[in-house]
Amino acid sequence: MTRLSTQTKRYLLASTGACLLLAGSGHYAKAIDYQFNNGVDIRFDNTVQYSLLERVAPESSQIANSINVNDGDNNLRSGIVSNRVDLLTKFDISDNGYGFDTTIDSFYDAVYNQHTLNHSADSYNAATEPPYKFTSATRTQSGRDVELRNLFIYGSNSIGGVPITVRVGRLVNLFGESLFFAANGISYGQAPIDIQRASSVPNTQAKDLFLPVGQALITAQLTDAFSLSAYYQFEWERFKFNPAGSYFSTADLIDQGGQRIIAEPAGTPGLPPNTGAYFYRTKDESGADTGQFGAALHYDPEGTAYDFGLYALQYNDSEPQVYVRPFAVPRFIVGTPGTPNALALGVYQTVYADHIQIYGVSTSTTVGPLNVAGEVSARLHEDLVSSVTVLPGQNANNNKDPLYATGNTLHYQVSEIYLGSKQKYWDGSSIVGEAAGDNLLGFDKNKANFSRTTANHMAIGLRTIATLNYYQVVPGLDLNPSIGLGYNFMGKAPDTLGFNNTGIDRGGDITFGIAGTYLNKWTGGISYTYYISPPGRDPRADRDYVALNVERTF
Amino acid sequence: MTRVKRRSMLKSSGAAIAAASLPKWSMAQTTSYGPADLKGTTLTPFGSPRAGNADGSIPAWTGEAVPLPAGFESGQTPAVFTDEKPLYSVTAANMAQYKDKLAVGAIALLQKFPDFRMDVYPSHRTAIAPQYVYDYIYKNASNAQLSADGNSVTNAYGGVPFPFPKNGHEVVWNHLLAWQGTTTYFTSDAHTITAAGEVVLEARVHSWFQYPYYFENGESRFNGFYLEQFIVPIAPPFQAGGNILFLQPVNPQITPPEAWEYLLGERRTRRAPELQYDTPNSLTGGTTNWDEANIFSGKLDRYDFNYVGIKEMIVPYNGNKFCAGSIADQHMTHFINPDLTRWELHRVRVVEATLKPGARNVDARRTIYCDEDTHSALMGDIYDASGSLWKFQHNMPSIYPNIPCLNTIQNFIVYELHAGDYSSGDHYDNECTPQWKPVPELPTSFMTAGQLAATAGGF
Repeated sequence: MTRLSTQTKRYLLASTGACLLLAGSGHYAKAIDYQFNNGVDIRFDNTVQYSLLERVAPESSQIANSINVNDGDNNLRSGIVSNRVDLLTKFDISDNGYGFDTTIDSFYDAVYNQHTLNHSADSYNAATEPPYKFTSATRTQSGRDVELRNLFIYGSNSIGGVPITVRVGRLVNLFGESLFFAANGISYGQAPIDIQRASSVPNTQAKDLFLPVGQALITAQLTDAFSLSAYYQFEWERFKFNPAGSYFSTADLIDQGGQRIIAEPAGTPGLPPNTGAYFYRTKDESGADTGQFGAALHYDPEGTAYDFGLYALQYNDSEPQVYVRPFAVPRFIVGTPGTPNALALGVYQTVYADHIQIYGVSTSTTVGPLNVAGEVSARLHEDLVSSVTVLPGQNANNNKDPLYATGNTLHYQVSEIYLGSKQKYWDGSSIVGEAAGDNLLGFDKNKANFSRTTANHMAIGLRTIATLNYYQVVPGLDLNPSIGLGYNFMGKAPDTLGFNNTGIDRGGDITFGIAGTYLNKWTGGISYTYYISPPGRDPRADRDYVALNVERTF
Repeated sequence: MTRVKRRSMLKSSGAAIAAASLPKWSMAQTTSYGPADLKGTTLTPFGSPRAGNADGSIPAWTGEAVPLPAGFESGQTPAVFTDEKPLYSVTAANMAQYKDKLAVGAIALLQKFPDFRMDVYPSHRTAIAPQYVYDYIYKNASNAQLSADGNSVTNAYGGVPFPFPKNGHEVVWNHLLAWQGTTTYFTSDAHTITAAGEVVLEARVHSWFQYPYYFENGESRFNGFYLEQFIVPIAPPFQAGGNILFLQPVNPQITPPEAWEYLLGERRTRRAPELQYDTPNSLTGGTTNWDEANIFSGKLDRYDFNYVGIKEMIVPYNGNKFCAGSIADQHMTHFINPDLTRWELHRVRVVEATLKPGARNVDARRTIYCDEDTHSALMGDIYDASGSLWKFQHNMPSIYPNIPCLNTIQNFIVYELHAGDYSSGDHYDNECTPQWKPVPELPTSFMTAGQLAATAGGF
């Protein structure tokens, strides 16, 4: 049980941004775009994206045999692992600084609307489906859906000489200076991350990486040097993980499509014949829609190349803990045809911790041609990586009576952006990098449940992307080859995801890519991603893949 | 002492260039004038001679505004001189007879593309400014000072600092500080036209340009930035909301230039010090460099500027017609549609910019041609490190009698002569509304990084 629940915090992330900056890609055709001399501006455009992912690493037996992390591996053993079309519809109307903005994403992925390649009934965590089928939740989230992304109204005006901007609705607002390690930064408390999108659409930019939540945001430029922002969120959302059994999923029990934990597979000595022992998913304890708010003060002293930010916010965690709740007496369930019988040992649920505070500072400056920024923040009463079993009769929730370990943590990161000019062998270049660290300062509650096998008191990670730009390689075609590297020197973060999408200790990934733009209408790219560390350390070690994508806006 | 020495060096090298290659050029003819002449009958309030040339092909400056067409509304580029016909056309066949009046880049363009032509219309010296600007120029004539290194200007406000420029740096500062109005709002486009003739929209932007240097009676509250540019890309979709802010100082040593960019990919506002010099200009898809906008823009510190002399040349002028054209009509396969390009004969100051030893810029040498009246640059020749002519730049100076000003900072065309593609940056077409619209002064707190972030992704 310990083994199962501690996997959850550690192995959840998929690729959040290897290609963030590869993207620089463009597309423009006859989107509807009208401006009027009276200040009214209407825009309506549709972007069609096609992406294809092919698995290039053979299945590792070590991962395939790990019964609670192997469904994604077994379901898509080889070949095409995503074959997806997205339609992004954006509409914006504004009138002299006041307006309305919305974005809707509709998609279909053929792979998830077909059978799996999984032949391993004993290790398939889904309870409602045979191994050759995805669960309906996984099929929906990965295979076909319509999602509302932005939907907000906004207004800008000057009141008493102070420019004020207000936005209300579903939107993303981020504080701080993080580039790649948003989950380590101040912005962690402001928007859940769409991990699934980032892994299935390789060129996803950060603007599409965060999930909008309902909020009201106001920004006032008090003076030339000072600006103040404040928000209140009236909606809570969970992280959007790769659903259980999808290609990049490395935890079969969460989130969507996660139906049970396999305690002992069928055939284990000591169990009745053709019977496995399981914990079944029960109702999750969601974060509250209330109690999430924050403020930022920015100071940009005149005549200096420095600026500073001061932040305070409170949030309800979007990343889950898992409570495993054994029954006092196991129950026997007869399996559906083709599946083993079940001994239900208990239930499990995902639990989202309420009311965590972040206090932080940030600064950014320039050093020669280099842009450098950094931030430091502390989280108070944060839930830590835990292994929790709630005994029968024991009281445990996500608020006043948590059973997961809580404590205070320190987060720090420094990033740089370098944009180079034309040189002999290229027309432009960029090198973007960020290093980050995470320390446990001290425990608050339930120290005994802190998962010492999978979490340390400190973690350090690095990510960098170097890109070259070639303009007009042939008329109308720009090409941008790049190489990206993510590496964790110390992987096991005490609280959340850890770095580089995996939190893998002494591991990471390398991506080689080439992105192109044709006539600013077509964009596309091809990339190859290799996971550095062996299966023993990284449950995605055998998921190396090649991604191809093309898009165009109409 | 340093200054005297440097200037004498400039003079001699400038003279050497003039003597070697351009014997017909007259050296700076207005250097003998003083501030009082700005209020006399010989010179315009800008410091140029009121008189035209001997054969009348350049008229006298009258200071009168061009009449606005009926039905004109603020936010439009007025149609002017619509009934005029070209006096003559310069083509590859007859260009020898106009050779001394053509930019080197124009000659190259004529040679490269036999169907390119330059329609030369009657000259109109339409450059005017409000009286308070004339008054400031008069004050500047006595007070303005160029720093020893030529990279800064002090004690100047509200008009060109050096109505009688004595060296290349003064000519270039006059160009940067030329009158274009105070605060304007507009929508503009940037296109690249590939060598195959594909017209690619690189950016459509909403922008606010503000010249705190030009507020009437504003010298006591002048914040040191002559130009503030708040740029909001709205297309193509992948660039929409990637707002950019530039603050250009008159004295970079005291008030460093500032550039900020909202990075869409990272959702962050960042100082963007690299958005200057020869970094590829993202708003033109990287086909031109940041300092090629407005013929020459940004800091002066990487070049030596040698003032060669003043000369009659065929330059783009009163190009309002271009702004009303459709994107398809404006952009022909290898060049801007000659039917929409108005060339006139004007006197220009010629400056040679050469890279300082050890300084880097892919544009190794540039020739900049500045209008005698507005002092704005109208054309530029750019040479690469091997000394080969690489690019030809010109703008489409458009007259806005409602402001009144000659807008020279926009509509900049850059021909890449090696590859054969070209770029039309920050330009108007019939889809751009409004155009160079004067609006009330914006508070300085609007031109801040905080506002960039607050309004990013939607305005």
